[in-house]
Amino acid sequence: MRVPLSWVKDYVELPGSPADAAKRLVMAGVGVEAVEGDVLDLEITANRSDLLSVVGVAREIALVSGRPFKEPAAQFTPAGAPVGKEWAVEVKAADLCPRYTARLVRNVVVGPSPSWMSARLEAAGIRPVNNVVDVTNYVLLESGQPLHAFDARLLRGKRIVVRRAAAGEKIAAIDGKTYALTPDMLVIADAERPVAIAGVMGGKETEIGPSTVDVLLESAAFDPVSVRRTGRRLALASESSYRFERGVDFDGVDWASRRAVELLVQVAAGQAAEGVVDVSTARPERPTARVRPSRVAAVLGLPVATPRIREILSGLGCQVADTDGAFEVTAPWKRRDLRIEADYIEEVARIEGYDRIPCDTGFGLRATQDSPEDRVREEVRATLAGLGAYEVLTWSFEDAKTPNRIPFWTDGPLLPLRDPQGNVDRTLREAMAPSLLRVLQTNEAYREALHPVFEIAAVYHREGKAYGDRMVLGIAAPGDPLDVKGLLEVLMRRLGVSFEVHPSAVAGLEPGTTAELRIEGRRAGYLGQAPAGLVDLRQPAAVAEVDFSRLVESAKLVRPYRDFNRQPPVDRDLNVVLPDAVRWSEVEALVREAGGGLLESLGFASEYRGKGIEPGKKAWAFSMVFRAQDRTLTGEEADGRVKAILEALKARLGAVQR
Amino acid sequence: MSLDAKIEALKAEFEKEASSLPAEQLRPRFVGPSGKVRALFGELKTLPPDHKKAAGEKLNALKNDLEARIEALASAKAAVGPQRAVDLTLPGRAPELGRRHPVYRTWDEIVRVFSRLGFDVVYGPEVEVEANNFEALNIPVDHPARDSFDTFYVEPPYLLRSHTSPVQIRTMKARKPPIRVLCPGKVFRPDKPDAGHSPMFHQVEGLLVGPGVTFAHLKGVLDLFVKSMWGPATTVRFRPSFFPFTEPSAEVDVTCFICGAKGCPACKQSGWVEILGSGMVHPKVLANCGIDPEENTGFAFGMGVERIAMLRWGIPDIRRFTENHFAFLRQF
Repeated sequence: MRVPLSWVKDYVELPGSPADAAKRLVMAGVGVEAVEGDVLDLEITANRSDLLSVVGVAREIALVSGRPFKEPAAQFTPAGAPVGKEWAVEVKAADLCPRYTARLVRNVVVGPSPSWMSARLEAAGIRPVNNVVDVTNYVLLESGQPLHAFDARLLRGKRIVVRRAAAGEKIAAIDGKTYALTPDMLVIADAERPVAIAGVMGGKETEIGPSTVDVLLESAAFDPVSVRRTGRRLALASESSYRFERGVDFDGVDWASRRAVELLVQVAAGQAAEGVVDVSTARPERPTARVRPSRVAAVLGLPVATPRIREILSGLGCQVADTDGAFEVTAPWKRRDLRIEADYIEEVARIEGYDRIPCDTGFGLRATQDSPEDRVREEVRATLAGLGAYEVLTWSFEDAKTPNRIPFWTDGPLLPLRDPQGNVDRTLREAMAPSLLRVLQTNEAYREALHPVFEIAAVYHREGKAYGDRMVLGIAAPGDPLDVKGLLEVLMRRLGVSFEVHPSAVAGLEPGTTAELRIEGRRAGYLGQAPAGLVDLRQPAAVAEVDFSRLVESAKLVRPYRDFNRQPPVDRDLNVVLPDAVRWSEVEALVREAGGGLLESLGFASEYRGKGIEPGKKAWAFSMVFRAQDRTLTGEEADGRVKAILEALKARLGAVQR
Repeated sequence: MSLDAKIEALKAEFEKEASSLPAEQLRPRFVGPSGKVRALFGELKTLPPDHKKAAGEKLNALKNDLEARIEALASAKAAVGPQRAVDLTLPGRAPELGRRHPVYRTWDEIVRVFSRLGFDVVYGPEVEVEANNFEALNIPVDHPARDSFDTFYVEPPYLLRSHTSPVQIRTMKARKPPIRVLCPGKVFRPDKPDAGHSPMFHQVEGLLVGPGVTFAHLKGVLDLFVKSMWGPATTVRFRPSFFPFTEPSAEVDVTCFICGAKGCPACKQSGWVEILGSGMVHPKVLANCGIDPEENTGFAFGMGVERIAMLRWGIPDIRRFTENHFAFLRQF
């Protein structure tokens, strides 16, 4: 909200420069976005509707700087027949309109406003229209009370009816658009038709124009929730609705009306009709709160003297009564945010100054431990980063138009996300792999050498009627699935998790390259080659996802130490030609079986196809380490094992030594 | 020539050749079966019998001496490797390092500070229900306060949480005071992406509830936090503000750690940088969670991880974090 300080000066003497005034306001909780010359751009929090006005800001400055505040009298000399003789107001929806006032100003001369008024409106960011409309806007800015001026001669039947809209009713508003109304919306009507959407916008047919002679002036209080809902439904917001939504000062309704009449007489040469039609139904009561000085100290950690508390609360305009060691406090309507004890404690702290509250560190020591979840998270991230992978941060969304489906974690429907405007541009991701592949794509486009990337983050699914998110570890790497499997193997060893790679189909990935990852025999993730078309990449890439909670469950980060074998090892290599269909898992099982207890480790070295190897076959080289537990193993013993291994490979898998 | 003279000549010849020939060639020439030492042994039979023993001992000593010298030369060369100078201005060799994302690094750092102050880390779901994201936090339907918390809906009442405060609600419902927890996590708001806004970002919120907890404790904890995070010279400033779930509420500024509070673009020349929202937990929020607000008081605070990371490294645009360019990530 833009507030010209020259205007504020009408009501309070300013404490120093605009910057000084800004600082006072900031430290009192009134946000100052910018100081532009004489104008403060204020950010008013949702609770302080009283500050949505120049007078409100002036009152706050007076309060925090201890200076007197002076309010204009809003007086005028009436002429002609009283408004009540000619005009009737009927409030049919008192629940949505606790107070409605109407005044009449006759014989106005519609024209431009005087320059002092249009200058202030422009400084505050409102475009001048004509002197009558400008007066209503001026008083809205000054007092925070929205007003509406009707061309009285265009209203039918000399009556105002405040009622809910009838089904099928429409109204052409002053913004030039026509709005269809529904029966939950409050309207201001004349004897025949709606002439304004209450608190939101006036109607086109009764608006002030060059030929307007008599002005019927509305000043009212409308139900905040009703105004808010109506505005949202019609996608219509105005300076008026903004203030009504936050609540206007019930007791300020008449002051604003009188002030506007005073100005209409002054700037539009109008004649003010005597009196007012004021329909106040069941005036709402302000709540009274019990404020205990002991509680002030208990919440703030700062003892504030009881007389000082009383002084602060009275200074806010509250009624304060003493009752056995506490105060019974009632705030005026303009401070409708003050209702319960905590509200008043905040005011005491605010006026006293937050900087007077000490820093107290006496909240005691407490033992804490990283949770198993956080320990595993740290181990995973440290290990993968140590292996050269880049941790990334990807969106939890997919574009709703191009859904990439990898229905591994859920085969339910995609989960659309609706924004407040009702648009569905995004769906929640069901798998992480597409997000990670897009990271590779971005970097490929920037001619980067690709590194593996990873992230621990959520994927989303529907659970019956509810929704859930699952933390997964996702990895994507250039190359084939073995490039990702290698990272997983190192990681799993580090975590003490034994896992199996069980070749099986995974929908959405390249057929024949995929496997399910199992931890303790149960499905815990997948691995496979990214198919062409999932994300466009020039080079091949592979992906894996692992249920992070399964890692946490199965991780054994502290494992008992096992003494290592100090006997000398014997290294042996083998190079065999095998039929293409033979899998490493078969070779491995056979070698381990034939190698027996002396075979300590077996490692795959390389594969060769081509010259010298007949089609349908492959040459595999692998290396073995033999070691005895209790003695120096001789070369002859190791050779005996190698011979047994070769014989087994030959007999069972058709291997030939190369 | 006497045998002694021949021994000395042989020694001199060895020293000369040792400077140019490798150990493998020295061995056969001098100590091998047809080497020069062996040849001298052959001359023993020409000596008178009473000289033979002493001469044999001298030749054995020579043989042992030369063998040891050859052995030493061989092993010395093996240790030195190729006899070439190394251009140490060439780049060194090392495996390539991976990287951790700066947002998660900042998250870790914030968590580490509060862990030292005795806070437990707790998590909650990202898909939340309205009751936990709004009503329990004293943000009623149709209240303008909800405007600051626009949300993505999956399907009412399910939404993507717009702050991590629902984790505080879950914690207060599940645990009895005293409670001292930290809630980091992802949050979502349907903001149009620009340099300062992102529809997805991260928050860390903290909560301390128990008998006798005061606003002065809140100031104490956050003062310790900023000093741990940005150094002992950093100070905090509390400004009144409004959040529906705390009262009194405060925005917290720290002295600008970039310019040392002298005024710079990062702090808009004010010397202060806003980093946190905080306050005393609203009594209604405590009551909503089954905690008696007369017996217990508490404070809560929250900060945006991206904002702190941006300030820390001078990153001008929040969108950098989700672009995941290696050229960006490599810098952290």
